[in-house]
Amino acid sequence: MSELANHTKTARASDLIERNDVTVTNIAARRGARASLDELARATFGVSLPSTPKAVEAGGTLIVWAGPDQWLIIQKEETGRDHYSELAKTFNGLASVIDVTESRTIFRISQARPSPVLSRSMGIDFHDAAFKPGDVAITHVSHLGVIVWRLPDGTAYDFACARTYSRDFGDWLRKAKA
Amino acid sequence: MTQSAQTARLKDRGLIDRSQSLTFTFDGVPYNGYAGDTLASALLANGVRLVGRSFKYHRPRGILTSGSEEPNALVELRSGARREPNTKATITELYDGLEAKSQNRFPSLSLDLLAINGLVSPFLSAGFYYKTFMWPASFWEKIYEPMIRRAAGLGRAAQEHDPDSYDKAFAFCDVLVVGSGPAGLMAALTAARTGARVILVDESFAFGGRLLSDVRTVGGANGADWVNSVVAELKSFPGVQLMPRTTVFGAYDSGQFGAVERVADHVPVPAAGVPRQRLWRIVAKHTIIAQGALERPIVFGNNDRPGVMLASAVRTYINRFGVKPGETAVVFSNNDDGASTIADLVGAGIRVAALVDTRTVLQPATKSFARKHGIRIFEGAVVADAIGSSRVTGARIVAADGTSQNIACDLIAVSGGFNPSVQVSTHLGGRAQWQQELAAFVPGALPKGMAVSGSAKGTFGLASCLKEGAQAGEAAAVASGFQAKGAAVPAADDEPSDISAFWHVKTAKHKAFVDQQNDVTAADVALAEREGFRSVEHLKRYTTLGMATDQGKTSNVNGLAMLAQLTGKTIAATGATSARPPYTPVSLGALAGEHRGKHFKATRLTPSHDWAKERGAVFIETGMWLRAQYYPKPGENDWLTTVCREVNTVRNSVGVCDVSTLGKIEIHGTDAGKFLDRVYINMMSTLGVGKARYGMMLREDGIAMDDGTAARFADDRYFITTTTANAIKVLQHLELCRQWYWPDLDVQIFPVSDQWAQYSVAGPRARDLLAKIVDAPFDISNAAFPYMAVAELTVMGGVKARLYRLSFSGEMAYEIAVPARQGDRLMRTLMAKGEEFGIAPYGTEALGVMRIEKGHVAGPELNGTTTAADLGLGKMASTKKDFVGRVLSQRPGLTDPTRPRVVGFRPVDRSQRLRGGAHFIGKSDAAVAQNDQGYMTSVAYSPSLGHWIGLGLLANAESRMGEILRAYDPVRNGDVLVEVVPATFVDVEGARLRV
Repeated sequence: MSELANHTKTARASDLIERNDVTVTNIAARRGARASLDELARATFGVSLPSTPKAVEAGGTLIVWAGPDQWLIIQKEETGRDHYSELAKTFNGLASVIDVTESRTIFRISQARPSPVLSRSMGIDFHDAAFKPGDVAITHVSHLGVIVWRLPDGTAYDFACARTYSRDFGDWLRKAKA
Repeated sequence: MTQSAQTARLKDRGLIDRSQSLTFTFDGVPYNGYAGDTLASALLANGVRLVGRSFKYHRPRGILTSGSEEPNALVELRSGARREPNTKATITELYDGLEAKSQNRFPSLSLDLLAINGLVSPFLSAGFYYKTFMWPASFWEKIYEPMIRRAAGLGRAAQEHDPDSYDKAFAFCDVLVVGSGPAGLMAALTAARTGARVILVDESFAFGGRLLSDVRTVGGANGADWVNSVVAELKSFPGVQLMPRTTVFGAYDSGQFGAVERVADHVPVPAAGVPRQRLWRIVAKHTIIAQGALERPIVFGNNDRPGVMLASAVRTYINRFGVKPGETAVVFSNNDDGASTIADLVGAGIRVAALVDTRTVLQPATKSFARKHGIRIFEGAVVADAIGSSRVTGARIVAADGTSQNIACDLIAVSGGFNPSVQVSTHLGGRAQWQQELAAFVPGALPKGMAVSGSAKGTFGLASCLKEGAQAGEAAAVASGFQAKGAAVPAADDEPSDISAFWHVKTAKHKAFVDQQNDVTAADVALAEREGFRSVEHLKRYTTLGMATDQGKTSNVNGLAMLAQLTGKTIAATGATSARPPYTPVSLGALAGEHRGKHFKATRLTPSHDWAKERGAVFIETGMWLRAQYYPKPGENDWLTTVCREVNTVRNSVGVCDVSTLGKIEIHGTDAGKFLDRVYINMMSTLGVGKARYGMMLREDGIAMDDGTAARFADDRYFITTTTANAIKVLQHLELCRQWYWPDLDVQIFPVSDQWAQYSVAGPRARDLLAKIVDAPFDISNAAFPYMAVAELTVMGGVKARLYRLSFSGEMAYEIAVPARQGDRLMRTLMAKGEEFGIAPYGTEALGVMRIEKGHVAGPELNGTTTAADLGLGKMASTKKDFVGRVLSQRPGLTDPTRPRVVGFRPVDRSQRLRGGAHFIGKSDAAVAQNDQGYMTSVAYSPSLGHWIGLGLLANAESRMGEILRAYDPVRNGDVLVEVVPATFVDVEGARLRV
């Protein structure tokens, strides 16, 4: 059994961690509301919602493109705050908003460049010129669906996969990282 | 004897490392070789010529080639679980301790009793499968096929599990260069110098291609030294990846290539953590195919005898491996390769008895060289037959004037010209083109981003190859956005490469082989033509020419050229068969990678899995999920006891079941209701906020796809569930509907199966239990929260939750969902708070028993053949709206009133057990297929009723209540009389749901 045995505990192994201290909200633009949603997003976060596979950071909030007109809003958990409810309220009518914090497991590899082994283990070209800071890719690894992004500051790579696949993905990642 | 003489090893040449002596065995006999040898070169060095027996006739075979095109020298490598049949000795890198065995011989290689097949060969000619073993048809499976398989075939696969691991990997580059001969090396070097990301692949363990095998000068240095300097320079570029021991086996869309790297095939056992092989997917912006050309033999009598070898292979064994492939040679060619070969043979001190060339006039230089070394020249002549059986002892030469003479020799070096390796360049559909002046097929139209360079393109001179490679490398780099650096091409000469096409020696007296691996002879080709198999595709399938593991690399072109001669057509008009991936065989292990055993698929666990494990649950695999099947208590010795207790607990008090595996999907948007109306057969837009409704979806063809519930939390917010099995299929279906059928609707879909831990709490005390965990002020009373109500609330002091008053068991029941990470805690809390009610967890077995008792359909009934009406749900379908599957569900075949429908069954003798899968036949009818009236889909022992019950599909079901039928189960010898009854066995009025 991996340390993700009940897939709710933190996996901590050197620079590979499972990020359990964040809330993840999935927002999807309502039909025809993209422009107004973007305006509101700029007012709220100070940045535009990316239209291409990019991740942008604004005041500790990471906005990750997750498909056409869809984003993951990743925010640090704060006691007494309900990020999902705040976002649902803010974007009411312009976007569908759901809490997916527990739908996905996010792994982080804090490396400026992934190891050669990891690089060759995925169908993503991790070369610096090909996968730049802030780039996002939706792909699959070893039959498991995964969203990968490189933090906009270039300090780490995050891998988000469905929670019930995360034991297998975590095993794969540890092996690939080795 | 562990020291062997290596009597055929040359002292003064070869790129082997004589400081590293390696020991190996062949058929149990120990031999020595050197690092840098292949198994084939080491065998030859030790004078071993007889290496295997042929597929059909069990003829003695030796070593024909020095590469992956080898049809004869196939051996079993290693032993035990690592035994690998059909390994080509010609590319097997020698390692210390290598074990090889000859294959396809009985009882031994030198005495093979099955060689008698050669004597009965008139019965084994082309198409013998179709003629000899036609009648009686029933003999095929039981007698003919096993018999043929015993006699024919190659090698034995290992019986045990493969103990080694295999890996999959990806690589990306600007320029992929396949092949590291002169063209490939220049291409890689020129591209690398521009700063492009370059991958250079070669199937051998050493880079250099023919430069290692021929005596050539490049840029003033000898070929092998020049190769070393280029490889050293390539290694100095950070953007260059060198991949020896790697075969690019296929070209795929968008610049993707499949390659297999033999990571640890050259060691006895891979080091810890090292895979034996690695399957690569290489993604390249531009690709240069520089795989060179393969020499082809000429078809003459006994041309398969050990000692007949391709001329280029002869030079490889001499120059690269320092091995004498024979003592006295006859060289037989139709092109200038013969001249290079006699030069190298003489250089190595091997006597050359004759140069036999089909051309009438040879180059003066060749003639004077021959005269000088006492080599007899035969112009316009052929080697008609090899003499000797287990090894060549001579050649029967038919001179231009028709006279025939035998010349003693133990080596016949043969060259029929060169086939450019066009395979990979044609994988995406391009057709190779025949070029008469080269007597070769060259690449046709190439896929975007691909270039072919050097002899793979039909450019045979060394200087031309170097130049063409440099140009291709530069062009590819520039097209990838890099600046040309101007490539200096080293000086070299173009060797003469005149050829006059010649395929088949018609004066041969003995069997002449076209395809040596599949034992297809010239006579077979002629027979096929006579019998009307005159297209290359028919020739191939009728004779099996080119269908062996070598894919006809040494035989296809000869075969089709001979067919062209027989039909009087040109080769261009005859055409070639298509080469398809893989270029060389790829092991299944490499294709599977890590996906074997438990790693074949992911294992999905529910959030309270650990709790269930602690509790001693027995788990069952349902798709990728592990679900608790039942929870035995100490002292319960069989599953039925446990399941009955679990059912009784639910029916009498309260039970809890983990239903987290259900598919869960959020459907949002102002048109969410309208959208659901179109995907469900029943109306969902009219569902009130705070309510749930059972629903069914159809496939486009009108067959039931899935069932589940839809709950409405707000005007624009629905939440639906699917069955565990169909969770992904339904999501895909909904996304198809949303994105393609009705993009005009304002609908957003989110899969949230993993977000929620969900539990069914069922039984008369369910409400009492839940009342203890819901947070105030939530009112869980029947009046405030009736059957089919849903709500968002908090439980256990602030945990977000959703409550659904739904029942699958037929009892008063709820489903409660909390965020996944709270699932374990919720389960433990429910168990603790339910103790006073005698709560029991129940698994999928009890769940199944209770749904059968209630006549609820599930997987066995929703089986892809049933309609809503078949399932007794026809009345649910709305007539006021359109929905997916509506039109086709009205087809006559699907509305036929006599279609089998779901109905209940019970044994007439209540003590008898029912079996799923039993077929219904009339009480006094014979048990034959014509009398089949339907079958039992689900059965259970009902603790509530004290006997077995079943659901099944029966023709004309409604009108047959009370009828007695046979439930006939030949698989388990079951033959039980059953009574047709309504499908609901317990609480028929459904009163318990609403209390």
